[in-house]
Amino acid sequence: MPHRVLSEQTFYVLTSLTAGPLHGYGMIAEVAALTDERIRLRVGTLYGIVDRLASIGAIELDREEIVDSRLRRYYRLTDEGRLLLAREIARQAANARVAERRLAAQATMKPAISR
Amino acid sequence: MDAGWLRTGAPTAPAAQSELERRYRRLLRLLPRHYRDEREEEMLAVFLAAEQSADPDNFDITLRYGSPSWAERISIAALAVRLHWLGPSNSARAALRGRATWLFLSVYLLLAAISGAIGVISTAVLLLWPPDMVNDPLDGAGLASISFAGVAEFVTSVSSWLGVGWVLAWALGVAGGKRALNGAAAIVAVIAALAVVRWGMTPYSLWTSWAQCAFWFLIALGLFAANSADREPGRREPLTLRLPHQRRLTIGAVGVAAVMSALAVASFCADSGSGVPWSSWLAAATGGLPDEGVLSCWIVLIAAAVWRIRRRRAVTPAPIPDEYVIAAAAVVTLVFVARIPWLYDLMQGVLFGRFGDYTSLITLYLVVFSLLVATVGVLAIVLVTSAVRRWRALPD
Repeated sequence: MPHRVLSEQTFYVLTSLTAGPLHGYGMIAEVAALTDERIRLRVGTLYGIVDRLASIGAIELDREEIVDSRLRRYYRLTDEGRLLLAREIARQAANARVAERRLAAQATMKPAISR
Repeated sequence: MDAGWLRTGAPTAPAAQSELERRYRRLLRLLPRHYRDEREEEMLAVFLAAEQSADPDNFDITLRYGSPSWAERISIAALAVRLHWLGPSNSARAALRGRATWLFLSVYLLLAAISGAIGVISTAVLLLWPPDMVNDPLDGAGLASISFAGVAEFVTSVSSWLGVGWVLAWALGVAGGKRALNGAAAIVAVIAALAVVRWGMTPYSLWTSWAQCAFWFLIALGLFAANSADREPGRREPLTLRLPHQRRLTIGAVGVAAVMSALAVASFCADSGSGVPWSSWLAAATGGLPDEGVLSCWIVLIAAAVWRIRRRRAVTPAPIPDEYVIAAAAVVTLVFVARIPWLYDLMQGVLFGRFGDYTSLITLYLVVFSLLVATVGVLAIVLVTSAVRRWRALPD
């Protein structure tokens, strides 16, 4: 599967499913918890992400339940999804390392310049 | 917040349909039918659970009197635009539709930015430098006539700010990147909202004005929806509205804006001086300025002529990518439709009073239809036919 650059929301949806299958609201709540309420997914946004992830085989339907006469569908991460997430983590980590090295180099250069 | 309890817990929703549920189902009607059949119950359950979690103490009141928030409405509308246009699959047609839409948005924003710039420049010239001075601009008296009233009128003129808005939206779109494109979408949405207020306050406003507002909202939504999607595999550069040959296009756009601004001012000055024989012809040629419709007519016709000439000269003519054909067909069809009321009004002014009522009416329809087909219509028919043929050739 070619690597996709994931949006932040998609990244957190995938991360929320690492602990086990979740239904729609479970993903919204888990993403909010993971980001300290910074990202509050709307239903339309969530299902846009779920559709795209399902279409590339990153997640799949786990099971269906009827609770209080309401339909709940649980989704789980596939092996493809785990690989996608791992690649994205590696990409972000590499970016962070580059920026960190630059900052550290600048910090050591500054005293030398001021002298 | 721990979401784990949700796997065993239950969001308590009443069995009978509440007002909130009814409103949300109405909102979901924006989505395609096949998608609703599959997802409606699931999405409704998620929405109600989220509402209950947001304010559990007052959930009964929310059920009875609440309605989906604006953020929720926008997210569903964006999903609907994406589903209606791109479809749920990753087919060749869906990819082509996506590329053609993006190209169309890029071209439309460029045209709107040019017409916005023309509006701003010509308004500035006319307000800051009155027409009687423009008639004799070389004697140096014009600059002395700049008045504070003119400056104030320009600064408070809504239309001049709308023009600035289009230019800014285009510049942000070309700069690219997630934030810049969301900014461009927000600016277009504000322009559309201001236009709604403007036409709402105008008595007897035309249906075309409302259609234009709705179209602008769609443009904003399209930008937002495309920008919120994951990027295509292997694509590393930021999403941008930059077109091929962007530098040449920018120089050309500035040139077109300058020439058209000069024409608009000249047309106004010619109109204000009575008895100038060419004023009506100039006004007709630049009629509706600043207006991306007229501008598109000229640009599309010139581009088509240049393309035909270059193609004849080329030894092996390069094929045009499908998305270019589809986007061009969309632009020209839009121009074709937008020009109908303009041409109708123009010909009505020319014909009525010179013949009997019935003769005038029949002549009016015949002339308007023939002129449209003879000008932009032929191009529209050729392009649309070509676009449909290429589209059909693709696998589902």
